Amino acid sequence: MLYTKYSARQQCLHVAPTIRNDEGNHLFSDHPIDEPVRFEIRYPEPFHPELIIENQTWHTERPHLPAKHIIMEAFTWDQRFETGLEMVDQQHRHLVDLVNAAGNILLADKSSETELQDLFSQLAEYAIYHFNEEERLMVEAGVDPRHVDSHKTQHREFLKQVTSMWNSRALTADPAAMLHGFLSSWLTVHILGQDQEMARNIARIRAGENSAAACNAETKAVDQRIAPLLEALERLYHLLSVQNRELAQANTTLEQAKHEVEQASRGKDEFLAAISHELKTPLNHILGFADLLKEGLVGELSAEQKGMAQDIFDAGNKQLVIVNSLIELARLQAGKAKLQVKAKNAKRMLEEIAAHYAAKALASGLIFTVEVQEDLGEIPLDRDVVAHFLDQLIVNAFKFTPAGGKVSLIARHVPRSDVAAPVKIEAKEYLELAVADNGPGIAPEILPRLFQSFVQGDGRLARSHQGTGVGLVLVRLLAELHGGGSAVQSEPGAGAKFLVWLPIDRQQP
Amino acid sequence: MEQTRQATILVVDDDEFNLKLLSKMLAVQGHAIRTANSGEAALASVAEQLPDLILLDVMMPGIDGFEVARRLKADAHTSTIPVIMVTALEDRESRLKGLATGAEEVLSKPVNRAELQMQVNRLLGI
Repeated sequence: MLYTKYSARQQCLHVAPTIRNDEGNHLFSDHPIDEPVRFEIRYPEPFHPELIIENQTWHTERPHLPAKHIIMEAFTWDQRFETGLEMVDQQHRHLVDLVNAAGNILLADKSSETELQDLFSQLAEYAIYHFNEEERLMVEAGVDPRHVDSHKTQHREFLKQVTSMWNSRALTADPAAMLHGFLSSWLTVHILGQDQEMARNIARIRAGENSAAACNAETKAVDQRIAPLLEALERLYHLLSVQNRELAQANTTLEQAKHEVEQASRGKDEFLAAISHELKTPLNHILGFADLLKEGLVGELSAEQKGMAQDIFDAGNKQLVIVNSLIELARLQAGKAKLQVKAKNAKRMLEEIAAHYAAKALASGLIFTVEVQEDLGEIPLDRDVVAHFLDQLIVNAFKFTPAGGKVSLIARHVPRSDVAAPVKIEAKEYLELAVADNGPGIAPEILPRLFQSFVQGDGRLARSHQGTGVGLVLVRLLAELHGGGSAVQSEPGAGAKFLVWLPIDRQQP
Repeated sequence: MEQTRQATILVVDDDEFNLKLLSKMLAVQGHAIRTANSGEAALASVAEQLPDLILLDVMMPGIDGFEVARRLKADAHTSTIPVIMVTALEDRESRLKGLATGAEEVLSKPVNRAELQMQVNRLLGI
């Protein structure tokens, strides 16, 4: 005979069971009890309804309670459970065995839904049969109707609880443990309390005592007998309510922290909006006034004056580009940018974007080619994000490639294995977008840092092409926002190739 | 810039540089410019003498541009004066909010000189 050792008190503290046989040997010593086991316990109503804790979860990960010391204590049929009514005692014994067997099966490893249902049906059927028998016996013996009613109420309450637990099992992390915990503790209390009281009543009636007097006499005796049990249960509920309060407090603290984070995030939003406004407004004034001057709208200027007005205008525009990039960067780093992906004809979209650069390439004396795979098909893309990072890459390539050089936009499907960068979203296939040039290339020691910080490839180039290096950081962040990744391949003298990979069959939103 | 008719335009903005810049953009077209640096001042200026067109900034302390436009459009005396609102907010919502006041046009900052001049000409029937 196997017994699951069980005590309601420990149920809330240590939940991974060690199951022993009659000799006290551990039967499931190889059970992975170090792994956290979650289970939920719903306590029966008759005791302290105000302390019922629903759907609470406890973990075994308690640093002061090493998993290997977890033991569930006795729930075994012993003399204390004898009521002295042979038929009733046999039924109780069978019920305890059923509950213990269920515990052994269910707690040893995760059982299937069907097994659980079978076990539950057997238990419920047998409990109903047993309850009917007890109730019939009490009426036959002429037990005081008050006593019969209160006993019946417990039976009904039990069935109600089990049914509600069964119905809510989907919400429960470990329905098996929960059911077993409830069944065993209820049975113990019920047999030691109501059933023994019933047996003594019947015994006294059989001995010729008046049933009402027997009931009264028994009440006191029962109170004394159950007192320690109730006390233990009260301690348990107290313990649970303390834990519940602690959990509630922890929740409040978490709520507060969440609120503070939200506040800070909102603060960041407002700061970004404010700084964006503060930086751009005067800049736009400078541009506006320079525009009026250089166009000769406020009086004819000399050629030199006009030239200077034009310089103010051009310098202001450069600064505006940088300011916009920095604001965009701050927005991305603050996690404020939202992706709006729609299935797009990728080839058409890329050709449309690339068309904007034809004139500029011509003006810079560069050859700009677009090589897009014919059958790219429909790909989930955020056009603005793609256009934004391509702009950074293409403008960058134009800037660093001397006149007569060549810049290419190349797009194709590649398998995951061809993606040479970490990606945010795993997919089987990626859209590879590359901007390649045959400019001076980038020194190997600079390559790894290029996407990381505000670095420009080469000090000399940086001086001749003012820039903050913010562009490539933007490219990386935009690629990541789109679920992909970015990389650069280059050798000094052999040009540079900037690559972005975007997931095609997105596994996650 | 050639134009066939000189109009009186009231430019309303609480920012000194904005006021000067927008005024200048329109003055170079040959229009007569009046300025106001608050919603209250704008309403007072309109009450004193009706302009042909109003260029109205949205974000101002006190009575903001939305409210100024609502009041002007609710008054039969002033409801026919074309209003161009200028907003720093580039989203569709603030554009719709501006149009909902009855304003004829909503431009977002930074205001493009050519666009402003074209919208003014359109609304003045030039």
